[in-house]
Amino acid sequence: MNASKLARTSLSILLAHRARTLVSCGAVFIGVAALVLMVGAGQAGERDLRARIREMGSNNLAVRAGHFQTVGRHVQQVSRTTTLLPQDVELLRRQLLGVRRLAGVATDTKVVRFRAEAQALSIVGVDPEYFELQRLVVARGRAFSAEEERGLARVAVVGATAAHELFELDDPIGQQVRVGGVPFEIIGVTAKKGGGLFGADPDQDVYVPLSTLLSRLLGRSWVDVVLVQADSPALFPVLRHDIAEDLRRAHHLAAGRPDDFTIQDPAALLAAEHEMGEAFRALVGGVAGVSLATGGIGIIAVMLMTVRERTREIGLRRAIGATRRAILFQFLFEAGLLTGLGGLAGALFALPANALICRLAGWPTVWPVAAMLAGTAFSVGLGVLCGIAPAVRAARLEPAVAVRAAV
Amino acid sequence: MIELSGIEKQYTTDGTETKVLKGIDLAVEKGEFVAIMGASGAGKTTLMNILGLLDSPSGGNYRFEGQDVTHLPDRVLSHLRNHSIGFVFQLFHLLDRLTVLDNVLLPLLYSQEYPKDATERARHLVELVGLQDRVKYRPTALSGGQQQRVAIARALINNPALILADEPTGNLDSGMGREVLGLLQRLHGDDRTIVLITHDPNVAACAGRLVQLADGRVVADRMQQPVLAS
Repeated sequence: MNASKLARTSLSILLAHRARTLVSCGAVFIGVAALVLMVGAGQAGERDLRARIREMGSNNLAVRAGHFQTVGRHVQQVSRTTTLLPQDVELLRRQLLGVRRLAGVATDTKVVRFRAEAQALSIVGVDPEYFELQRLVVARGRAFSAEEERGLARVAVVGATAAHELFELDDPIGQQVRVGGVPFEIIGVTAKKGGGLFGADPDQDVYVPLSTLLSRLLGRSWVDVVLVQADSPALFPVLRHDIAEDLRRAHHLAAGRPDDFTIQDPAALLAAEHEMGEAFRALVGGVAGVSLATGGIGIIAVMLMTVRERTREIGLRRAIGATRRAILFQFLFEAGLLTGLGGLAGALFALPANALICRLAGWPTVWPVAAMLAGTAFSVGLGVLCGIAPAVRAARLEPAVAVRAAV
Repeated sequence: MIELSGIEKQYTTDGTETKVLKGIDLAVEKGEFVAIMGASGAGKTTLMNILGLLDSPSGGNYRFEGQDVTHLPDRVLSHLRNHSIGFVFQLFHLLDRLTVLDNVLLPLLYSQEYPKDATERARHLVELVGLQDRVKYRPTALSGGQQQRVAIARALINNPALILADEPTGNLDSGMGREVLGLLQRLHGDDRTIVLITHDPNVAACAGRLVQLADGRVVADRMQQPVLAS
């Protein structure tokens, strides 16, 4: 039988029963759309995770002042303490083995003024090692030195976005700004980095020496975080133990008293976050499975009904020369076309929907074309599989009986 | 053209055997117009199913165009039905979702090769049955007589040697019935054999030969002067 004529005939049959076609396609539509979304979101989330871990470095531990717990996507501070001091940073620097870099970090928001421009920005006080530890590249000018840090120098390095917003067309290097009323000289601008630890945007921050921030701007002595870059993540267990021991001793914590700091593995936190996404994707996968199973059962029912309704037509086709095989093929083709259309529509719907989800989630956009093609092919296969029983029934009809059927 | 010898057909329903045809001997020559007449239950439909290769006999032998077709595989029987036999049914059996032209073209879907001049051929046949201004119509927009004329055009698309018409006027009023019979009379000739099944003596009178069936047997077989239908 001529394939293109068969396709045209099958399509005309599906179009003649539009409502039924739409309903039977519906479940397959949902199933394939969910399947493509699941794969797309999975790929995008994975890519995002890898990018963020790469950015922050997978060798870093964060020692944070106070207690923190992870709730969903967010790390919440449960209690805040003032006991993590710059001396602790020095202590850890001296004591710890297997550590490449170490940096104390304190953060606050201050108004930064440049001429008539004023912006509230995150002021991050850091040890000079912070730039290398966080892979922050100073693209123009320079970073501050250890001497400047010790001397409470009023120098600042500005994030790329903040520099653009604050100075617009002016060259930031050498400009004087006021940070919380205190004059600072801009000595460097970082290259654009994007993404950041705990939701921060490093491109929007202003970096000053840690001691300057604590003494001149905040008038306090404690830091928020100590970042520890290990030689290898394999050392994390040992480091966690050593850090806890050193800090507990330095903070004079008696046995049985809880830590006044929290040691976090940012990459592990991200991975945990990603795993929660996995659970969500498993749920979407379940929806896909149930929808496709429902779709399959629906197709069997619809095709059986079709065979019943079209018994006389089958008889006629047999009378005018259709072989059993041609009838079998026609009904399998119709079933495959029916689910294939539903699957294709679902896949086409899922592509922009997936792009939207990626955008909303802040993930890099992925186009799961392979999943789309596989989903459509799978839906055709599902239709053919579910069409077997009805098609066999149609092909087995005796022409002499079918052609005189009452329906 | 058709040689039936000792054709029997029996059905078993719920363990009960019913013999519908009890040894039919019948020969039809090429170009004949034969009416097979009989009362309800005489075995007309069963005989037509066997003649049209839609069913196989339980006993006896059937030769069609010199070939023994009593026990052939489905593929060969389907090809013979497609190529050599045209059916005209009482209820027309047109597909409502297809146009007149597409209904006429339908048997070509199952031909070994789809002819290049298919549409031209179908248009010519639609013209032959007088429906050239209804080519794009759906069957539901046509009268019963017009629908049966479309069915006749469809039966002719592969230029078959035999046309089997099963009560072709059974669903038509007398005027339309005469039109259809007139068309069949015009179509039969040297190369085309027509076998018409009917219970109506007026319809049977249009054929050149009358075979009468009763209780699964041929009880009369005679040549007659056909009455012109229109």
